[in-house]
Amino acid sequence: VTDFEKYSLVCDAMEQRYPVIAPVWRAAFDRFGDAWLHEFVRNVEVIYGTVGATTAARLVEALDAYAEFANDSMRNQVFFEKHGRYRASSYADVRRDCYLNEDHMTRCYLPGMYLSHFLWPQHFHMLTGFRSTILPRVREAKLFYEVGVGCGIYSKVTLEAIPNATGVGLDISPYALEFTHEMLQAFGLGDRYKVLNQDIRDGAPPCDFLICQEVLEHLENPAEFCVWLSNLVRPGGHAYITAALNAAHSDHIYLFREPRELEDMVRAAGFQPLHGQEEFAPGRKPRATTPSLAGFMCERV
Amino acid sequence: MSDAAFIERVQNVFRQTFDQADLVIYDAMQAKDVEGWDSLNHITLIVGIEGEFNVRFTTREVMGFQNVGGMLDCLKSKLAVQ
Repeated sequence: VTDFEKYSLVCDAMEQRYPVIAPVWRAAFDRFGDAWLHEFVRNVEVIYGTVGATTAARLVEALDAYAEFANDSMRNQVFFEKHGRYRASSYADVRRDCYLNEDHMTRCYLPGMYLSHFLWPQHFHMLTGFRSTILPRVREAKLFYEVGVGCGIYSKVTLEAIPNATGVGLDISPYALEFTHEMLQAFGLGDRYKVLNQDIRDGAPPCDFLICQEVLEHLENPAEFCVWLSNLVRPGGHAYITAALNAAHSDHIYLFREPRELEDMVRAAGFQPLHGQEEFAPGRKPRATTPSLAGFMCERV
Repeated sequence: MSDAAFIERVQNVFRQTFDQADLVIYDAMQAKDVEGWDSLNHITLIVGIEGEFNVRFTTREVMGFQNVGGMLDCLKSKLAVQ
């Protein structure tokens, strides 16, 4: 069975269960090409089992989770387009209802986010840019942190690209840490990585490279958080900091509208931006209602 | 509520969502038959119908509709138990 046949089987399973969002899966090969195809199939099979004529129960659960994740995202985007603001405003509420909610995290958020990195253009192009442009600049890094690991995909590609690096993943969600730990074990990368359920204000030895990917929009005061991030990086070290712009989700609180807002925020926190990237969701709507992702490679001043 | 009144209320939500004042819905109608019916506008449509009829669709229902007829049947079943 070729990778394309496996991909087609996954698309068929999605079409059968969720025809409304199956076109995103069918479009992915045309959008991203052969290299993506191999990566997609490998990342699905390592985590959810071999793809065959019969869809494995674990993969069906992941497809269900992706549908929940997409539904949640789009319902909130519709609210955002109508009201010009995100629905959530309280970090305490989001923490309780999302990050500490086992059912939501394991049956929606984490598998949905993991798969979205191979399906949503803004997610996949940012991940590709991180690998091709950011990681070559930090290949001497010995210790890296990922603050807010989510599904752990950025830690995974960092461990793959820098064989001498060890990493630490921090998150307030025990379910995100467990997902990341198991995912990295499955890829044979777990021996160079540990997960910590720790508040970053408690401090840690300065690292060479810090990743904070799509975390800031989840906070009430991201500017303050950026200062805490800068305290975790040694002077001259690097950080890769991203945020979702005009992109609603049930746990998004702080509305970034333009990349410049993020750039100014990290600069004020003690970082010097060196390189920026922004990627958009597909569609023909105005910028103000088109979700995008912006990220900056920074040096700690 | 008569069938005609029911269809008219649903049809009005379609017309507002897709900004087509003369849009006429039918059971076999699918996303490919309506300009602009992508996944996000599908959710806009669903949210509009939920608001109009004070119901809530599950994710499986929202993402699983094969055509307008399926959507109408599902909506009717929800209204029947209210």
